[in-house]
Amino acid sequence: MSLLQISEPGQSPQPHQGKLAVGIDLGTSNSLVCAVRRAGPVTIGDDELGDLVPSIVHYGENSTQVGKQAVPYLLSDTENTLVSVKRFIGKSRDDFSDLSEFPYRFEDNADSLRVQTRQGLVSPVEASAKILNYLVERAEQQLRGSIDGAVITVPAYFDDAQRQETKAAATLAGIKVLRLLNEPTAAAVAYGLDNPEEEGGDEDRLIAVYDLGGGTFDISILRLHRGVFEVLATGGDSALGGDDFDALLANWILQQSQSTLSSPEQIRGLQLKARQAKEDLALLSESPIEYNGQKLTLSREQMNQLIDPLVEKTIRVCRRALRDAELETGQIDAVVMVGGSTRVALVQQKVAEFFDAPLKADIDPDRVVALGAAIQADILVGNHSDQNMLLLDVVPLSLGLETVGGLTEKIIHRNTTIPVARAQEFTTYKDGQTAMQIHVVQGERELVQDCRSLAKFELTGIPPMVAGAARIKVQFQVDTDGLLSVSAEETTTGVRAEVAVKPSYGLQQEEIATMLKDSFEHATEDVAARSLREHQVEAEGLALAIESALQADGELLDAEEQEVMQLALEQLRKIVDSGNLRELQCEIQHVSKLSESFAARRMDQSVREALSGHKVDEFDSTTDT
Amino acid sequence: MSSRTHFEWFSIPHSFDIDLQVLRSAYLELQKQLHPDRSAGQEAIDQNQVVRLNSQLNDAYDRLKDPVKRAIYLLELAGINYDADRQTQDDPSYLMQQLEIREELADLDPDAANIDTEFARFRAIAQDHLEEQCEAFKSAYEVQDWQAAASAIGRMMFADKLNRDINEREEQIFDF
Repeated sequence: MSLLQISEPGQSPQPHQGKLAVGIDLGTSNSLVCAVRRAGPVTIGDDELGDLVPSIVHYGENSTQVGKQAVPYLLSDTENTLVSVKRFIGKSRDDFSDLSEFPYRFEDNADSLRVQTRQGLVSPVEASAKILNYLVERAEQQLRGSIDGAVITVPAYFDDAQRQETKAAATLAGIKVLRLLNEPTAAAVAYGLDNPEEEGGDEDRLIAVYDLGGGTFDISILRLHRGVFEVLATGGDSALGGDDFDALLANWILQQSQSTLSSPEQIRGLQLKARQAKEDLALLSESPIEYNGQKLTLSREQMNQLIDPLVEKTIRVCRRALRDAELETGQIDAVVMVGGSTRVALVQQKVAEFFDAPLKADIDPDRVVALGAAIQADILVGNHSDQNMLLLDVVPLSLGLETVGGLTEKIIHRNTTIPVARAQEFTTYKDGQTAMQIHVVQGERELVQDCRSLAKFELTGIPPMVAGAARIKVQFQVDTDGLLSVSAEETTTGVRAEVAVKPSYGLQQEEIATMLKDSFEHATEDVAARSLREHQVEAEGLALAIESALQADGELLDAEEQEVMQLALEQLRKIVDSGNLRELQCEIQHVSKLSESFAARRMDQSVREALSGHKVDEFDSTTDT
Repeated sequence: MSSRTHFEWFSIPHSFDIDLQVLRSAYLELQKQLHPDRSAGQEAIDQNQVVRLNSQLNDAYDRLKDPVKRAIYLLELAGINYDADRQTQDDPSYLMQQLEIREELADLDPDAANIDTEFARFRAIAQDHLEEQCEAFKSAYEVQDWQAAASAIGRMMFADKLNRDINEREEQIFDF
């Protein structure tokens, strides 16, 4: 079967030897860049600053510091030092019930989450771009060359808006994105668990990747077979992570010390204390905490009680993912532990208990994702034409459209393998309807209001037809980055208007709408002439019908109403001759509307006549709209 | 490309009874050749084209691996458009039975100790229903009794829906 000849081994054009590609883990707490060298994937760093880059950006008077160099400003210049910006990526103000827990000055009266800094308003995308920039510069110095491209990892459970913004950050940083790769999948690649010689032989292996980072949680269930990493199901919570553990401990410290918070520095200072205590308790059974002049002691037992509800929540998500993969707990061969928060003993204990499988954490949970991303980057840049590895990932959250009554119609279900294209036909529900509102949403819930709104746009320029005759085909396409584009076309008239809509949350929706409208109108030009003729006929028929009705039952309208109707008819005739389709459509609609009550009164009169024994006149239905 | 049937993608016979292992192996083999990653970095190849083709492959696999979708597709190939809205179930005892299972499901005690085995039991019921109707479809399809085939699909969808209801109930109880 010769389907399409792509890189037959040995025949593909030899790529430039040794193109430079990196894998980047843009984390909530820490970020990291890795590359594949002769010996395999390595993290990039130096003796002075190490390799892990704290995801911190400080906006100073004359310069910007990133990573370790921004750490000194955490407490001294809190408002201008941004941490954990990943929590804000792809989100709007509505997504947060209480912004006061963050030590920033957010832009007033705005939907976006831009922060007021010394250097002006900074969006989460811009701050992320700074971190990416820093990572790539570091890599270029170390590798002594310019980077040809990068694989950037995202939480598997990131929705489309979060992915779009992550990619936007990379674009802003001038990085060529080879792929957005899901973090758990990257971790599985780093372990190379697909390798049959290592363990498991030729059999399929089933693994779970439990990834609990600073701000996000993912669970992915994979089936591995001879180089193929097939994601069966994924689940998670893109707003649950170690930061939330810290917040619970911080709350405890506040209560115990009977303190209150007022300044940004105090908020930040408490957060740091809480994190320190959590890290201590990974190794020790008790942690002494000094706060506000008071000496407290937090035991591991107490911490476990505090964070237990959150850990339980992750286990419930695991349960659902396992079910979605149509598997039972006993079938999982191993659980790969990823993310700094998996160092918490309670997490390890509950995960091992639930899956009843050995935990794997031999690769540093803070570094495994970037290492895997580097391997994938090296392949995607074309350095291995003969490689056998293949990643098949899925859509984490269902994608759909709003339909009548605020309900969601799912077009692509969660856990569908990407890339994927699905289309659904919709139709008009009113005669002569020329526009249709399309609202793209993501989520599992039945009601649109419970899902994430990705994009809203109006399709205009649909040729007017009777209700139900138009066929609007809306197509969803999710590419290998997991990014959605939506296109629409009207199929019955042969109008092919197709436009890819890249929903970009809160940013360019007006542009998108304009784009779509323009293209639709442009594509309808060739049928416009026919459409005009049809409307002229319709208008003439309408005018005739109303005139004859006025002659027969004019007394049902008072003088003023009659005059208005006559004027409208004159106007309609004028526009018929002018040949302006748009105006004509409007005027037909206007006159029809105007004659509605007249028609109703005539109907009413006929009914009354019928009831009083008069002969029913044949009702002139042409005035009926 | 559109002239190739989903079955032809995987070189398997046009039949309801397919070997899922064979299907999966063929799918993974094709993926190894056709996945966009294979041609990444090769400027001469139109990536949009590759992605489109790969989407078709994924769609073909998706529609064959699921028995309900496969059955609907087979009818489609035979020139019959299965319309779920028109397919009504008129056997009262069958509908009664469906209602009873759902009532039982709704009455499940969230605090029961054996809740997991209860869900397993419901799933087994749904699975039995599905398998039964798969057999019914197969027989009807073989003798080209399209009406009986469509009716079997309708019941397969009932079983599918039961599975979704079970999942929903589980999500309610365990607060997924």
